[in-house]
Amino acid sequence: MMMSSPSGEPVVISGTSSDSHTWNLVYLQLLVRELGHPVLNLGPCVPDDLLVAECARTGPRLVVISTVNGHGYADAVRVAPRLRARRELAGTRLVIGGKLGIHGAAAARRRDQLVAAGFDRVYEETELAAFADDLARLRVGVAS
Amino acid sequence: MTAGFGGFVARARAAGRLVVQPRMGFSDTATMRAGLLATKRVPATTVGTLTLDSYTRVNDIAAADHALAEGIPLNGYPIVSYGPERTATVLDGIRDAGFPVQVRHGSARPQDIVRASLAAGLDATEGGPVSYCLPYSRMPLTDAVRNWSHTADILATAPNAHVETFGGCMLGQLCPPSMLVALSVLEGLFFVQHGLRSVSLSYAQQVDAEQDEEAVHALRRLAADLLPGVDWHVVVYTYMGLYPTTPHGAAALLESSARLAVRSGAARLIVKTAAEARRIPTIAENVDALTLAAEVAAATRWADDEPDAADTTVHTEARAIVTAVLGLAHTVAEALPAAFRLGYLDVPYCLHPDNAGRATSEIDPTGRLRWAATGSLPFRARPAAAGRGPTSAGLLAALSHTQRRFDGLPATAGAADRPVLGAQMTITTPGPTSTYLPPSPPEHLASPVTRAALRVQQQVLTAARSFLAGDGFIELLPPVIGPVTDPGVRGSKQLDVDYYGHRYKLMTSGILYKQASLLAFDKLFFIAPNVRAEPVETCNTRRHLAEFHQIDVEISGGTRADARRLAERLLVHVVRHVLRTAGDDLAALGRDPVVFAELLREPFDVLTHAEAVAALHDLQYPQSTDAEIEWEGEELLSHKARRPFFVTDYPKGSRGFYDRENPESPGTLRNFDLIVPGGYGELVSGSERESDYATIVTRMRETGENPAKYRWYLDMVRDGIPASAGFGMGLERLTRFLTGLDSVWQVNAYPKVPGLVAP
Amino acid sequence: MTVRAEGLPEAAIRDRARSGAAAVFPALAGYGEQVYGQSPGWSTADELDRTRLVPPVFVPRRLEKLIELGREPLYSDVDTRTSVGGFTATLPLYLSAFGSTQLGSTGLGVAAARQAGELGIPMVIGENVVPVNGYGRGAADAGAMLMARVRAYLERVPDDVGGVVVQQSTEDADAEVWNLVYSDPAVAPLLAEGRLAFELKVGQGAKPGLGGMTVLGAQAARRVGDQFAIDAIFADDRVLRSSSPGTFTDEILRQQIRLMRNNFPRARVWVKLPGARDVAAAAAVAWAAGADAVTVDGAEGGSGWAPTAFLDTVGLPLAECLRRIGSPGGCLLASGRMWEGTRAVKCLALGARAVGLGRAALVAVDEDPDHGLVRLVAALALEMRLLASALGKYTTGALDAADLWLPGTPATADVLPALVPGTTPGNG
Repeated sequence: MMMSSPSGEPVVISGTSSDSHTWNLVYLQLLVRELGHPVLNLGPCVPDDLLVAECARTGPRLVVISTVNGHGYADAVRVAPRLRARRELAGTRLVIGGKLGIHGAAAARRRDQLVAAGFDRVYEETELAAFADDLARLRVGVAS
Repeated sequence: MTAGFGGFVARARAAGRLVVQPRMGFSDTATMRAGLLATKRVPATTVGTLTLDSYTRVNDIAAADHALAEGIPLNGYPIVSYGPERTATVLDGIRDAGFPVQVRHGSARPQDIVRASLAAGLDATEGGPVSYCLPYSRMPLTDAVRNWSHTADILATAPNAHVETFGGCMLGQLCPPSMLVALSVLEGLFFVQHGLRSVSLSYAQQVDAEQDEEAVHALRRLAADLLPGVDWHVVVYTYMGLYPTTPHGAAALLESSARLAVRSGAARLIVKTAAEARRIPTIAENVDALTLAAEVAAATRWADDEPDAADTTVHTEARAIVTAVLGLAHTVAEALPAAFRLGYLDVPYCLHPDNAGRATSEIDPTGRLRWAATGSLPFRARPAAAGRGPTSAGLLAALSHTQRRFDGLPATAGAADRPVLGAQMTITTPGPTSTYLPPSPPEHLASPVTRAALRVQQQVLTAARSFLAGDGFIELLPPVIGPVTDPGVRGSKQLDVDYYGHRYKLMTSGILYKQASLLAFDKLFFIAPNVRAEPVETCNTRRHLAEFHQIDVEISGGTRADARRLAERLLVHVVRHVLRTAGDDLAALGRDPVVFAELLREPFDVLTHAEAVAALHDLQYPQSTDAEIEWEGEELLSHKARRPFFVTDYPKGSRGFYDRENPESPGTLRNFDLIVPGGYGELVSGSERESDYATIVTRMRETGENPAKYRWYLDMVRDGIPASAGFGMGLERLTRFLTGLDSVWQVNAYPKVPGLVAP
Repeated sequence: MTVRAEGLPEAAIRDRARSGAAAVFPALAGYGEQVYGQSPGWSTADELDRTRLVPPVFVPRRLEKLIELGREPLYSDVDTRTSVGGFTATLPLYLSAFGSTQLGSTGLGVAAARQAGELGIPMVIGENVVPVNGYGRGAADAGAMLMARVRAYLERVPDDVGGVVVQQSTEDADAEVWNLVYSDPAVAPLLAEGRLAFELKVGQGAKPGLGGMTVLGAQAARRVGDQFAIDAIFADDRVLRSSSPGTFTDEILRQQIRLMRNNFPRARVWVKLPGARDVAAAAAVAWAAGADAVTVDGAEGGSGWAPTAFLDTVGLPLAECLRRIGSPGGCLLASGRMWEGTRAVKCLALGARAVGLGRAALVAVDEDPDHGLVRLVAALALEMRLLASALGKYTTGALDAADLWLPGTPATADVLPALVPGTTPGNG
């Protein structure tokens, strides 16, 4: 395993426009940095315009949307096409995780719609391990 | 005494009654009304709450309207969308002089919310220019100050308006008490400078009861000095961080907050419910919480009317901050942005662009919340114990400190330095289970944690070998490959090797060879490597490795009682030996020997599988009656227990064919697991063995096995093998339990976590 | 290679695989010039085929639907979505297993999987694919292997419907098919969504009482020689490979199902039974032990190689299996000579939740590997809707025995109460 030094284009971490939770973002920042990636943490309540502008400006290796307030699903479905509409972000890896709706059921349909909206991967609440795996793989990709 | 919200609380305080209040908000008007009515009917002194939804909070009224039109439930009451008439009907006949109602929102731009509230006659609210901006918004602080100045001006037009500062919360956890006290006082002063005459100052319960009491006393002292002639009281929030997940833990934390409020001289308490860790609580759960808090408060002795004048650290630091900030400008409104720019005010872990982010905090070994780095704060703290920054795992440990403590998990003193996996991260990460993966081999092997754990493991091996040898057991070296191996391992895959063109298996356990070896010795054991490609879903249980070791014991002619007794004695012997010989390593790992006190008092408790299932059903866990206890259920029982306990009589169908069926109770097996407390779970699995040929063949069919591939074993059984009993004790699990480490991979030099490719 | 299916009206199936729903009707060419009537070659031997579907005049459920819709209901209002063995299916259909016979393991298996996914119906993968052909990871000839079929299915299947069912029978325990699948990271999404099931194959329709049988070339035979009985009965160097039928008692079946639930808690459990004389007792044991579905494969079913004697004279036909089971104690699935709508609707009326397409699906993908199965099912689904609607039913679960008449038997009074609205389960 090779450690890449935290330089280069960052992993962008962001909350959604209506989500004010912070600890998930702080934790992700520490985790992503420990796995060897530079981090740009946009914090909570990030307006769509700001997210699109910051991603376009920095050309991130990965964009991580984290949401836990229950409205994140609607926010995410709205913003993903806006990111994808930027030519420089059309191929950027874009993932989302957290609590994605007030009701626990219908998860499969939500996942489907998020993917349709432009996300490469949707991590439900129980899938942080998968996220860490993917991050680790990202590291290998970057190091080699 | 003033009228309105503040007057109501003051009268209750004078009468020696703590006011209790829920945090409650529903998008449906009928539910909201039912919630208010239920709050009013609680046999206690209560005030009502309308908590708003998060679209309204960020002024996205269009989104709230849209959701309402589409029938999508919101996470609170959309007061602007509903308008004053609709809100008036919600309140009609409920809100009165004996039952004030407060609006809680969390907005950095609350003008419309406050106007909508006042239009509905709701003149009590909460917030603050700092506390509703920094943690929840990206609005520049100067804008938030301007908005809140405007808001305060609007509120001040209402004769009995009351505002509660939210500055005593700040991210809910890990903000040191002195900063909470300072911000709460500064926000209170901000409102008073805008003409409000009735305010409450908040303080959110943190991690240490004594420190919290000092904080509320400091808050009262500063308020008395800085808010003369104003109606003010202190409101305590029951813990706002990661909440305990067990009913008893949640209740105990709520109770401790009620005691804190009364003992420290607060007048009002905002409660949390047992459901808090998982979802938005129901009305009934809120009622239960209010009732419990009121009962505890009534049974607690009130503090003196005068705040404690001791110069505690909290008081000294808070006063230094407030003094420095007030020295920056004539008004708080002007001083706040400057204070953040200079770093006089600096909230740990706050991501807002206007927060300096140089100060950090930690939970110290005595369990208090302290500054780890003070940045430009206007006082000097003791140098922090560890000079390095927070790690993700350390953050999780600190965030879950209170949750773990109240759920009865291992003591967390010093835990901030150790990684903790977060089954408790429901509100803070993308998922409730976090993972903490092994680092690179050089890093792992060089880690002091790994080395300490491996030294403990050496003592475990020494103790186990000397104990078993002393009891007449002979150690045999285990085979590593064979034509068949133990099939009785749930969901895991056997690994094949090509053995001269034949497909051989790596041992998943030595059970078949243990039974065979009884032809040579009556009492024997292996310390055997086992390989099981466990399903990937186990990578996060913290107690599965794809390659691990067992202390694998078999007793010819033994009964289940013999095997159980031996496992018990072996465990106690190993624990004693390790406490005696590896005390330094345990101390370095932060493992308090006191957790083993209960264990050393053998014999352990025994409950049957049926009883364990019933216990889980009592805990609302949906455990099947005729299946293996699921990982989560086992962990739940383990968390609840104070000492190790056996679970016996697992149903047939849950274990391998070699566990003997109970002739007196067909369908159950003469087997047992040993579960250790603290969430460490199953440590030992054992049984009386089946030795009858026909029964074994039949049981093989029942377990879906093809007897043909067990030819060597069945030939031997047909010729006769002794009846026996035995068990396997997981070496890594035992070491993890002894060291208190968070993951079993931490005690293995070359860990192979299921699903991860590692050397 | 061209697939042959002599026991089936192969030409008609191929017509449907080419023409889709249009094939439900006589050829348009003769329209306006020709009179139509019952096909001359219609089978008279099979009881299901002899049974007629008998619409009523009084249709209280159509009245319910009329009230619900606010207009007269049409056949297109029949809701065919249903729950099949723990999965949601767009139609009361599933794709039956094709075993390791050459037919099932060529590209046809993958083509069928892709189209089953597109249709949103569950797919069963045959039991001895793994021991004979190997498991798909990393192998060069991955085309016909289990994971290739799973991937092909997942390529097309919508997110909220369908599911994959992996069979294992006695001898496959050696290959630990289920363990392999369950611990494969590629399968994790299916598990997470509850769309994986394991099917315990107790037996199959074509050869009740026998285990799996295939003909292998000499090289393949050497490879599996230590796992299976090999019998050189043929003139050339090919051999008969037989596996054991497996020993079952009620307790063995019960415990095997429990073991599946314990070892694979996130997978559904299906059990496949042949047309055995105690099929009702075996189904009851399976449901009681927690099986999510019991599949009954009538004697007319099966794509597999079997002795002629077994094909012609051994085992209960599907109609008798369904009669013996009576009112099912769980989700009952039926297979055997399914290819068009009438037989499917009759099975649903006799208590099955869904029916399996086996040989017909193979013929259809052989006719057109890209669309054959989809078109065959389009025709079947149209017939199913027409028939259910004619019977005054708007969900397939509402079909019952009152909808059937076997020539020569009188109408019985005891089927009449089922026609009273609200007394029959179903969501209409």
